[in-house]
This record gives sequence, C-alpha cells and structure tokens, in this order.
Amino acid sequence: MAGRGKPSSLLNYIVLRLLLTLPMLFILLTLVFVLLRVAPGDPAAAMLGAHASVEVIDELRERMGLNRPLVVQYFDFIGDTLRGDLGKSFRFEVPVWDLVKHRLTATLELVFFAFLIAVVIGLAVGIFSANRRGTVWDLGGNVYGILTYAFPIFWLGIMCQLFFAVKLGWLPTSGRFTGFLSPPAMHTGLYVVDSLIEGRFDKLVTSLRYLALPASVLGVYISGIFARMVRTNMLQTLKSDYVQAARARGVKERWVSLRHGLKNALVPVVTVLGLQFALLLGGAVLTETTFSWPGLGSFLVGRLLERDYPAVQGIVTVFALGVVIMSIVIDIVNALIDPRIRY
Amino acid sequence: MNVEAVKIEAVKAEAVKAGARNVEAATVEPSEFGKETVLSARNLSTYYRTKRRVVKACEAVNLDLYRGEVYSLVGESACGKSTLGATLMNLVPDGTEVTGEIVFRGRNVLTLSKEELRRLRGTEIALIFQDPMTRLDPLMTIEKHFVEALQSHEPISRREAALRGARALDAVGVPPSRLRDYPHQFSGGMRQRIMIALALVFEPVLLVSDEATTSLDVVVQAQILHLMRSLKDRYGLAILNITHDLGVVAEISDKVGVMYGGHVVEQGTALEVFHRPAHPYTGGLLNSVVHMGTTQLSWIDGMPPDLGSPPPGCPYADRCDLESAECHRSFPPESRLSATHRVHCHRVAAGLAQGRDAQ
Ligand SMILES: Nc1ncnc2c1ncn2[C@@H]1O[C@H](COP(=O)(O)OP(=O)(O)OP(=O)(O)O)[C@@H](O)[C@H]1O
Ligand code: SF4
Ligand SMILES: [Mg+2]
Repeated sequence: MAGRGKPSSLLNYIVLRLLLTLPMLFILLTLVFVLLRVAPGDPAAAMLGAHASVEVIDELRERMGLNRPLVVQYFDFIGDTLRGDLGKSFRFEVPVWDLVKHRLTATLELVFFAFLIAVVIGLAVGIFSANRRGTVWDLGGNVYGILTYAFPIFWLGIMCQLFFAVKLGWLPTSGRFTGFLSPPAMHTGLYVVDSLIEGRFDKLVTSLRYLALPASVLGVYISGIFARMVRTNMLQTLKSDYVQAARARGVKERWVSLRHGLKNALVPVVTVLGLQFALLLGGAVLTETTFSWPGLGSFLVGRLLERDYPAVQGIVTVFALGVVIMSIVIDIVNALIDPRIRY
Repeated sequence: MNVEAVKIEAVKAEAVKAGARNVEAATVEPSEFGKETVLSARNLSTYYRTKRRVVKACEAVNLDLYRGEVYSLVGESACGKSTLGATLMNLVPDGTEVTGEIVFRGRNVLTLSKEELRRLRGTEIALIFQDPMTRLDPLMTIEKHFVEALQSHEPISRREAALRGARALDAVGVPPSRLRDYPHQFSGGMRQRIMIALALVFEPVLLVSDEATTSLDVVVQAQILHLMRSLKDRYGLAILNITHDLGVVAEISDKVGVMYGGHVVEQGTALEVFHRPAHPYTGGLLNSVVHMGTTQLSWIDGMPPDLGSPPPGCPYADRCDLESAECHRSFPPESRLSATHRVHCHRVAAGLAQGRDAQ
C-alpha cells in the first residue's frame, strides 16, 4: 500500500512489454530483408569491382548463398536471428556479432558520455531559464538552445578539433585510443570501464582524453534541445494548480521549482531523452565520422555501400533491440518517478 | 408589472428607507470596536496583464476581516472572487498589477519582500482552493507534502513533521495511516480534507476558503463546513469564505460581501445583506435562489460585464432595472447604511441624500 510500489506488477509489465515488441521486431527484420534485396546493387558485384566477369560474380553469389530462393533465404535469416545468430559478414567473413560488438560498445561509450554532458548542461540551462522566465537570462538560454541546434555538428566538431587539438594541443584530434598503448582487454567493451577493471590508470586517462572532444561536441549539440524541453515542460508545470497551492503554503521557492516544477516536468523529458539515446546509437554518424570514432553508425554506412547483407541486417537487429531495451528503461524510470504509472 | 419588477420596487423602497434610517450611522466612522482586526484591505485593485489586454478582475475593494468571524464573498462566476482571495496573500501571477493596501496584522502585505511574504503564507494566512483534485502534487506522498510545508517554515525533522501531519490528518477525519499514500489514491472529499489539514497544520490566523466545498457532495460539504466552523470557534480563526452557495452563506456567515464585476458592491452583516439588501444586484441574487417549493424560477437577465473592458459607470447598469443616466457615467460612491452595511449604488446614494434633506 505504501511507499515503493509492487515490484511483481512492474516485472509482469516488463515481460508483457517484451512480448509485445516481438511482432514489431519481426516486421522490422522483414522490412530490412526486403529493402536490401529490392534496392539496386549486388553484394558480389560490389565486392569484386567493376571489372569482374559474370562467372566469377556468379560463383561468389553461390558461395554467399544468394542464389537460393528468396523465401529460403528469408526463413534462414529469421530462424538464425531468433537463435541469436546474426550470420557471417560477406566482406569480412567473420560472425557479424564479433564485428558489431566492438562498434556497438564504442558508440555506447561515446553516446553515454555525451548524454552525461547533455543532461548536466540541459538541466542547468533549462531550470535556470524557466526560473527566470522573460529575463535576459532566459533569452540567453533560448539562444543557446537554438544555436547549438542550428550549428552543423561536423562544423562544431572541426572547430573544436582545430582549437583544442591542433592549436592548443590539449587533446587528440581523432580516434578512440593511442597506438602507443594496447587498448584495455575487452570486458564490457567500454574503454573507461575496462581500464578500471584492468587497474590501468594510464589507459583510463588516455580513453578519457580521446573521448573528451567527440563526447563534448555531441553532448553540447543534444543539450540545446534538452534545455529547451526542460524549460518548456517546467514552465508548464510551474503554472499548475499544485504549484500555486505549494506557494500558498509558503513552500521554499527552490523546492517549488525543483520538487514540484522539475520533477513533474521529467516524465515527458525522460521519454524523449530515452528515445533520442536509442536513435543516437545509429545516428551519431556525423560525430563518429568527424572524429574517426569507430562506432556503429559509420560502420553501418560502410556495410550499406558494400551491400553486405548479413552485416546490415545484424546491425539493424541490434539497433532494434537497443530501441526496445531503451523504451523499457524509459518506462521503468517513468514508473519510478510517477506513482500513477506504478500502481 | 410582473413579479420581478414588484420585488425590485420593494428592494428599491427598502434601500431608500434604509438610507434614510441610517444617516446618523453613516456619519460615524464605521469601525467595529472590541474586535480584533486581522486584515483590512483598502482601495485594493488587481489587474491581470495578458498579451492582448488588461483584465480588471478586482477594483477598489475595501474589506475588513475580524478574528473569529466568517466573511462570505458571493457573486456570479468570473466576477473576481478568487482573484480577491488570492490577492490577499499576494498570490497572483507575475506581472499582475496590484494596487492599494492590504494590512495584515500591522504589516502591508503588498510591500513585503518575497521572503517575508513566503513566511507569511501558510503560517499565518492559509488558502484552500476550489478543486482539490489538482491541488496536490501527484508525484508526492501526503507525508511529503506535510514535511515540505513544515520544513519550509521551521527547523523540524522529517519524523516530527510526519507526526504533526498525522495529527493534522486525524483532526480532519483522514486516517493517519494513509500518510504514505499518493494523492490519486484518495477521493475528492478526502483530498479536500487533506488540503484543509495542510492549511491548518500551522494554526493560521486567517483562512481563505475559495469554494472549498463546491465540487463535493452535500454530505461531505456539510462535514467540511462543520469542520471549518468548529476550527473558527476553537482557534478564533478569521475565515474568508468564497462561495456560490447562498445556503451555505446563510448558515455560517457573520458578514457577507456581494461581488459584481470586480467590485464588492454591497457588504454588511449576514442579517443586513439577506434581510435588508440595498443593492439591486443583491436583490436579484437572492431572488434567483431556488427554495423548496419555489413555483417560479427567477433569474437576472443578461450577462456580467467583460472585465477586460469594464463599463465606466456601475458594472450592473446594463442589467439593472433602476438604472439612470448617472449609472452609466460614473461608478457609484460608497453609501454607509450602518457601521457595517455599505453599498455602491447611485439609487441608494440618492436615497441617502433625500433622507438628509428631509431632516
Ligand atoms: N491569470 C489570469 N490572467 C488573466 N485573467 C485572469 C486570470 N485569472 C482570472 N482571470 C480573469 O479574471 C476574472 C475574474 O476571475 P476570478 O477567477 O477571480 O473569478 P471568480 O469570481 O472566482 O469566478 P468563479 O466563481 O468562476 O470561480 C475573469 O474574467 C477571469 O477570466
Ligand atoms: S448604480 Fe444604478 S445601475 Fe448600478 S445598481 Fe445602482 S441603480 Fe442599478
Ligand atoms: Mg473562483
């Protein structure tokens, strides 16, 4: 009755949510499969180049299994995916998962730190603006939001590279790790965490130095939208009846603003933020390209150009799972914030 | 002549007579000796500023609230009652223009700093709102509401604050065991009791109740009214009771104010306003009350004025059967019919003058 809410009902809810996402996943996989085959271009031809003879191409197609009927290919693909087997890359001839896991964790690390930065800046600017509505400070916050959103992210990235890396020499220009050290052994795939597990302080610092620029650029970029969302939603909740009632009780203004205003504004903000996180797993391409960050987005672009069907299908599956997991995380976080969802 | 007109004639005659009767009283400064003034508002106006226009929701109001007295404020919708209630603790949106004077226990509320005002709110003046469903933060337990309110004003531990919350809940008839529940787990009536408990946890001097019982069913309504009355008797609370319900007013009020178009057009003791209404609008309002056995419904034709562009003269002029040219020109001055009974109406003023001439 009191306090925390019922964990069992939350668990049931999560299981139900997972089951409900299965049809969605199925549709998505089918869509990718069909689109790849409908789009012009042939994997074998793409790999062998323009001068390969028809026979050679056909032989490769045979080896890739592309000469089997489409229906057979489709059911193989779905069956393998359901078993957790993403297949072998045409191009690299190794299991797709082995390729993807390094890329995925690289992107996760980048996006995670970018989000950390975005949340801190976004909350600070958003709350600050909302509490000073209509003042110069508020205007400043709005300009910040629009500017960070309007600037092309690669331009911002290049400017930061020129200034912090080239001119000041404080940080490396690009890449994920130095060539003078071996990267930390893979445990989680996140270099920062793996360095800690290995107990190597030098590797930790190196990872952070390489992370600093791309994560900051991406973080600042997202923080603008985030700040605007926090501001808008807070202004809304600060107008609500319970806020007026709290003021009528003489509640300290800081508490009115944070405990009532901000907390009630968080549900929509968390939802959008979580989805944004999921999208960035695949959409941080520009940042990854600018900083030569070996992430999933830029990897996907390369595989698409090569028509590496298994790789593309595998990456899309991983994205889809990411979105599913993220939306469940959003639900859990929102349920923790809002008792009306919990009960 | 129809029934309505006859009634109005009666009101009019009464007003003129009352005016004549009270000439002497009017010359005496109407202060009420022996009573402790809790709040007095002088020439109080509240103008909302929206993007397109200024809404004069409250205009030149004079009001006195005394310890242990219930002052009921009645009037049609949108005539500025809630505005007046909120203005008394300066709880209006940013950018709203408030002029005049509100003296609350020796301090002018309108010149207090933000922090002084905050300390006043809740502890000395409490406000209960019309709709209890939206007035509690949905993300907070009832206990947290109490802890937060108490800790905003006193250095007090969570435990102790929760204890006081439990006691306050108990006093309004909500089981203290439900302290850890969330607002959505309560019914409307219970939420209003919680709001009252939150308002009274500090033992304030003045309670502004803005239609606190309107949205509740009659049984709960009666219980809450009873509760308010017993609190008044026990603590000597002054209560400003804003309401639509004239039945409630008759039951619990010491004083009654009638608001129309942003003005308090008539005020006095409950007896004076109900039995000797002087303002034509008050007469109309009383006539439109449906009694058991009423055979004929009566109402006032027309609409109250738009406060975004109020008429220059009497706000009631467009609907008044007694209106004259003067009524459309200037706002009527205050006529004092007794130490407590005051009216803004040209007719009454004229009646008074007549009475003075006759002497
Ligand atoms: N924040 C605001 N901004 C602009 N206008 C407002 C605001 N609040 C109230 N008003 C206007 O002021 C006028 C008086 O409103 P108020 O709420 O005080 O009336 P009321 O007498 O309490 O009505 P009701 O009986 O319906 O509660 C109305 O015309 C209303 O539209
Ligand atoms: S001032 Fe005139 S219009 Fe207004 S109530 Fe009196 S008689 Fe009617
Ligand atoms: Mg109201």
